[in-house]
Amino acid sequence: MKKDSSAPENLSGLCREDFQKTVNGKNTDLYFLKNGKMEIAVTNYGCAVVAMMAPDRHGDYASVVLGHDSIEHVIHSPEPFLGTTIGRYGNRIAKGKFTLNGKEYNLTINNGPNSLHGGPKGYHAVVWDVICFSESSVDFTYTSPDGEEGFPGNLVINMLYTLTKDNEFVIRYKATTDQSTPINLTNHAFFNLAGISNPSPAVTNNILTINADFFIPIDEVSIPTGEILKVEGTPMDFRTPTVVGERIDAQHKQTIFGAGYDHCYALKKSYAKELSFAAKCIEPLSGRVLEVYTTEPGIQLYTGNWLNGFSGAHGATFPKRSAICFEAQHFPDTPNQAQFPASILNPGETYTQTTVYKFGIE
Amino acid sequence: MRKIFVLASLSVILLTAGCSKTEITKSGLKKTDFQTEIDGKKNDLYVLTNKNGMEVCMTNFGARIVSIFVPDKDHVFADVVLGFDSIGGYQNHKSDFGAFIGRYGNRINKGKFVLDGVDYQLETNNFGHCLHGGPKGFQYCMFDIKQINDQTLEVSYISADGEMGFPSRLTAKAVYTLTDDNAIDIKYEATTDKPTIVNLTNHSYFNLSGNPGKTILNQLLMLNADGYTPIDSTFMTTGEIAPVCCTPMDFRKPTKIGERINNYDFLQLKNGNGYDHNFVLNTARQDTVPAACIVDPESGRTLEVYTDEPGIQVYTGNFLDGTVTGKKGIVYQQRTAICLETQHFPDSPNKANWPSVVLRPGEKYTSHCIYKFGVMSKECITKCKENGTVNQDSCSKKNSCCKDKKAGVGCCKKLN
Repeated sequence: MKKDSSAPENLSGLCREDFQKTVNGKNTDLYFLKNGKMEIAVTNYGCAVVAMMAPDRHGDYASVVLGHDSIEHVIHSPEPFLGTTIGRYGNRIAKGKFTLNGKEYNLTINNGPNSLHGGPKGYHAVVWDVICFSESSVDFTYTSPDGEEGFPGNLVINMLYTLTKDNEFVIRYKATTDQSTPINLTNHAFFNLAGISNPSPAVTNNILTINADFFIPIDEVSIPTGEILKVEGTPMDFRTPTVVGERIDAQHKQTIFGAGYDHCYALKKSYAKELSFAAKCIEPLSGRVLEVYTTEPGIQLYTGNWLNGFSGAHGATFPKRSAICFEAQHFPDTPNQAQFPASILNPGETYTQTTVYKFGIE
Repeated sequence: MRKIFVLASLSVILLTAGCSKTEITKSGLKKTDFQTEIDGKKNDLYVLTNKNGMEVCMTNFGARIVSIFVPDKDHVFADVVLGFDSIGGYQNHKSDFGAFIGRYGNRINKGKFVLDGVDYQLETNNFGHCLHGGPKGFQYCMFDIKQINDQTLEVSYISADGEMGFPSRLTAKAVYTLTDDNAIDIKYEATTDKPTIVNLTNHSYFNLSGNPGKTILNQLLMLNADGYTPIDSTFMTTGEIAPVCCTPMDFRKPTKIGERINNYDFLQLKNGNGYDHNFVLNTARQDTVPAACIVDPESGRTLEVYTDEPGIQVYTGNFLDGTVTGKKGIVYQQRTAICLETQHFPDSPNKANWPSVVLRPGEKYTSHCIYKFGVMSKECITKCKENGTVNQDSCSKKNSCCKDKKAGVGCCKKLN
């Protein structure tokens, strides 16, 4: 006998009906990925991951991502990027301006003087089409029209969410364009490995490793200075397992500018596009462990410095630093920084990106 | 009587002109001194001239620029690059003088890199690293040269699959044009039949004084670069992009090359034995914005460099040590030349955090470098030196060397 997926037997306790709505003529819905050990709930609105049920070392389940329990709350979330797909350009572009093939483009400004995460109506705030889905994967597509939020070219994106039997949440991106355009796609899951609750505990006790000798320093409006500096001797150093909160409020220019961690790390790789180890995060009380692997050159570490305590799924609240994000990406503001790995997609080329979030217990 | 005299002088002029065109170049090179066979290929000397009388000579061996003959502020011409006056000099002395550098300009760490998951080992030749394409890089290879016209040469070389350890058969080409505004315009192109790495550049050793018996330490250098890539004691890049601000690497205002070059308390100058560093250009890959400029205050000669590359290697001839005797019998002592090599960053194949140097089948590698020569008056140079913010129009319409650079001013003050 098949069970109705909307029934509360889902580990997350989420109901499909609460996510079904028509937005700009497109239907939203809720999809579940299950492998017998984990359950992941995603909606096609911004491809937001709304719940990720993972066991702790005692076998007790909790959602390890900040999320909402209805489509209305997703759409009107005080944090619009909560668990969503980000594009066309993840992270910041200085003053929302860049020049490509001699032409200057102006993007929508939504973060101080800058464009952040593709603008206010970026890919986090549109309804994606679902090509097909099963308990192990959901295949999404979205066509971003020429000029959307100021970006050139019609960009056709295909994105596949997969949950493997080894508790890996795999995201594969592909995109093609009919005009040269900057591109930087990522996922903005806000992880809380202790499990969300009221209030969700701070992530400052998490033990973090980042496979990076270098990071991208920022200025007071979070734009890269253009340098690539050593983490050695700074609060940015996570080359060996270190408690997140140990130096988060250090009187260091970078932790001050970021109000904590909000920085891109230049990942150690033996070659470009290598799917390699990026980060490992351990929550010592629950024993939950997250490992991140990516083909991208960088990963943005964000410690939820701007979360303000708003409420999410089932009454959970999300105060400052109750989440940690690992956004696999090209470096911020690359369209204006010729010394970073290029983030331009040209007609005839295919953009690809793979990121793996692997869950475990220690 | 008068008529006869005029006729006689005319014929003398014509004879000399005809003679110099086939035999001796204006810079004093003999064509026959370059005519030989190397690796079964004909070597020769090729001459480019423009309407201003400027002359550039090139030879097949390493597609080297042998001489660049340009005027000073009093219209006195001189040869402003190091080199040899016969092909034997180039064959007998290991050097990069004037050469076309490939397949990978600058260093690759221990000659190793991984491309698409496959390990490659290149031949090494410099502190255990692979430098400028290895022991027999393009600088020692025979190029085909096609003279398109008096002002244009096309040079090409096919690098075999596996040569020096590099994967793929690479077809490399460059068009050298001597323009009528006294610029050497170099346009590089390359295609490949398998994925490989490419970084092509020119390794001319400039001494704008025209007398390489003198050092370049009193010449002024401007670099349009806020950052540079630090190196270790084996000249290998560390992976950082560090700010030049408040260091002897800051050339955002025209500064005497020798002013801080021996400041070995600054580790980078000690590691580099002087300047031997890649600078991260502010030019945003635009070849219309000056990347670098040298001014020789004595002769008034200037050299501006334009490129669409992200970086430029500044090398101040630190390894020249008086053991090599070049053109006109001049012994090349330390720091008697400066090289400005437009490029992707050193060791990029091993630095995933820098712009990629991978070339794949179906793609075309291109790179553009312009060496533009000019002159400046003494007064203008003094002004430049004093404040580094002289607008080009107040000096010379042709030189943007002293242009104001937004980030260059007041930055050190702010940081301190």
